[in-house]
Amino acid sequence: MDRTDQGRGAFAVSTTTQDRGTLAVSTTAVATRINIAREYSRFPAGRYRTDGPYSGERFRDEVLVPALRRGGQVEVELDGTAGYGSSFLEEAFGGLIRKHVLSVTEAADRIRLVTSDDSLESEIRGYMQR
Amino acid sequence: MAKNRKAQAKRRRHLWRERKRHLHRVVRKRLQCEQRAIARGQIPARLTRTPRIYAPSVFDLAQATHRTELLRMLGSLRELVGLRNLPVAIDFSRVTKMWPSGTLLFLAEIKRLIWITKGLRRISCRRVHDRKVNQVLHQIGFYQAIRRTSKVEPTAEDVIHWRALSGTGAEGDKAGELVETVGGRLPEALNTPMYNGLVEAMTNCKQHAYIRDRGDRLKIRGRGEWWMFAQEHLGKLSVVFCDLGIGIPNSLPLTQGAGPVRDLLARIGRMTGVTGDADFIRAAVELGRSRSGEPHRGKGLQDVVDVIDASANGALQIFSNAGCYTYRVRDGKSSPDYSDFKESIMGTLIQWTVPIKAEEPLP
Repeated sequence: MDRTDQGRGAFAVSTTTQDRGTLAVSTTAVATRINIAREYSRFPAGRYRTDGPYSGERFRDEVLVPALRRGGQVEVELDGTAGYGSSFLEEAFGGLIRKHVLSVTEAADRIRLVTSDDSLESEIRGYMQR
Repeated sequence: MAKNRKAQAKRRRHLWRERKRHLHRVVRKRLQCEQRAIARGQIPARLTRTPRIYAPSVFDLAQATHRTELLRMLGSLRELVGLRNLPVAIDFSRVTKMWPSGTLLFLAEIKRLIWITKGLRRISCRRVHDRKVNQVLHQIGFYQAIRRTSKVEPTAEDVIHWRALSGTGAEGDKAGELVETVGGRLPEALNTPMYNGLVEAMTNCKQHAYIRDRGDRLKIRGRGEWWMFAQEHLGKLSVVFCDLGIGIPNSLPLTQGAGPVRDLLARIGRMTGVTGDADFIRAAVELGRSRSGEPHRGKGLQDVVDVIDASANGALQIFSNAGCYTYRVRDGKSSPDYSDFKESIMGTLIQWTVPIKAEEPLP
């Protein structure tokens, strides 16, 4: 998402119906693919909306939850950003469990994380297990 | 010869007495003038002159004497400009060294006072004798902040690499800008941890630092303001971040609850006896490591520490109120250290110091 889209409040999310049943652990089809750097911000930061323009709360509510509501598996591409603060990740992914959007099992099954950084994936998985 | 010397000494004594008498006469006359002005209902010129505050010789927070002098000056500035709404001239004639920690705190206080006085020209500066100090003041935006025209062109190698930024709340683009600016000089493995550390410091600042007024009698609560800059010196890169909030020792019990903080202090063995500000910083760092307290919050300081863990040689200093937490990593071995000073900086300042990668200049 570029700066001109900031005020619109909606994000473009690429939607595909590619079947990854034979490759991924889960047998759920990948319905939506989200590339955070391209479709949200290269500089995600902050926990709540009040913290800053590209917060974890906003990402969860405006990008992740609508994608999950469409059903199927959601693939989140994490590479390409400058980094992620813990509070962004906790609010975006841990918040799904805390706000009862998904159960711990559903989260493990329906959210597929794509990153070259293994520690980042295990950190997010950790937030989604509490 | 002896007679000559005696005569000369007598003459000198005479001249000294004459000079003293003359000065007494001048002072007496001036006082009489002032008394007459007061009788006429006017304010004497001496009392309307801009008060002058002398900046300390070294701007630093880590060394006790320099820290005391700097904080005394900042206290005077708050008193005169913030509370009494008086114009003040800062005299820089004694300043010889400006270290990042002290300089950033000074700049932050100045910008806050300018914000409080709604941009009125209350702060000016005098006698910047040291050429490098002059360049630093220009480079960090001090002259621009006090609206003084400056024709200084920074040329010193350890000045031109200073980058100053400020903002409110979690502005990831600014953290990214700083990391990208210095990124070419940082070891690659440090870029992401540095960004994460900076945005978490910004988030903490928005969520915890300004939940109450900082107790400096100005009764003004910030909205999440932070200031930061990067400086390159002697093969090391220092990134400094600061807020002028209530400090970790005050915010920790408010945001995590008194119970969990008490447990944490007990865990680090500081329940008995007087607990200093450094113990609270230590408790906050431990909270980040253990992810305890309020289950989904309080891990931010861990990102701040991770920057140093990612470097083979580096140091982190967290100054918060009167406490100081130092964390050094040398050849992969880490060593934390805690200390308390007498005076509070009335806020939190984080300084990362890491070795730079190569000697090529910044773009």
